[in-house]
Amino acid sequence: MHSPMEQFEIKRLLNFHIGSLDASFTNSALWMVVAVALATVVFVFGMSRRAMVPGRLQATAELGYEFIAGMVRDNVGNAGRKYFPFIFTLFVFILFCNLLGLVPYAFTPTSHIIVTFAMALVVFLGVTVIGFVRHGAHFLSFFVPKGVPLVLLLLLVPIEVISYFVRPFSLSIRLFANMLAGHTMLKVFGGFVVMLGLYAGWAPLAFIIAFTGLELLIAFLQAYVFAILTCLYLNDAIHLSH
Amino acid sequence: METPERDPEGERQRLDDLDARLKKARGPEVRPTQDMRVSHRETGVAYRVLVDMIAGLLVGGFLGYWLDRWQGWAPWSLIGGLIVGFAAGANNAWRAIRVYSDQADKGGNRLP
Repeated sequence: MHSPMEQFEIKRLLNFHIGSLDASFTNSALWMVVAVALATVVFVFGMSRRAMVPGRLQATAELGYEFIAGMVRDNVGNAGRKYFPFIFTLFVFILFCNLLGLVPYAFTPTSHIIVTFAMALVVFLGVTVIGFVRHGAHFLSFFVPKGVPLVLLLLLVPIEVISYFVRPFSLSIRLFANMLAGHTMLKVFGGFVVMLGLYAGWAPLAFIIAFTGLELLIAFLQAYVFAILTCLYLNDAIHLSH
Repeated sequence: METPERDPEGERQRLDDLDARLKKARGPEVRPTQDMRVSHRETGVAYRVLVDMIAGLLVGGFLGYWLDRWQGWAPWSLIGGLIVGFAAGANNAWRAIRVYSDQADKGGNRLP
């Protein structure tokens, strides 16, 4: 029987080496490509007819657009409008990676912390650059709480700075841990089905069916949380609000 | 037997009457969906807070450990890093909760 962690193993499909850098095309990369391709198909084909009364695919595409557009408008305001394409892309990519990971034999790129951390780092660096571009050195006042005596500032400013640097970690750990835990759980209970056999294996099988439903919810919820936290960080940088 | 031409006014009254009786039979109106949504939201906030605090500890601990290795201050910067990291995590958690409670006060239904 396979170990429950085997599903997360990275396998090289095509070998590429640039100098000492291993740039091989892996199963993780393959499923990211599949996610991007499928998302492109859904949104390009869905919107190709531009019907007044949308069909199923067009309704899906429009629903996703409106959902994220509303999120950006509510959380960042008008200033966030130009960052909408980025947040929408991020949301759709994570959502498709999460959902495709639930297909049997598929690989979940978002169950690897290096993938989620890379995305979180892009968000973190981008938001920091936006903050400095918009406010210059004044952006540093973000780390200084207002109305606090000078002595306490010596203690509070380092805490604020570290809180800021914790962001990419909490953002990436949240997504990766949810995916990793969910898929491991499914695999463990799948193992129970085989071990208990025809007589008692039905109970864990029923659990797996119910748990897959929960995993669908989590796949959506985690993409949502990633997008909305990006919005909140962006709002902090643009409006310097605590 | 029913006559072919019905009285629309009487029809409506009959339906209103039926509606009223149905409402009475169902008892006072409750909205379970509303409660479900609130509890869902609270679960989301709880998860966020948990991860925030753990990440704070991890980052603080890692910084302290790295400073120990680099400057040879063992174990003091690890201890200090863990304390500051915990404070940072609690700070982030507090902020997440405050956003949520502000929205709850406003009666909004948005997830923070």
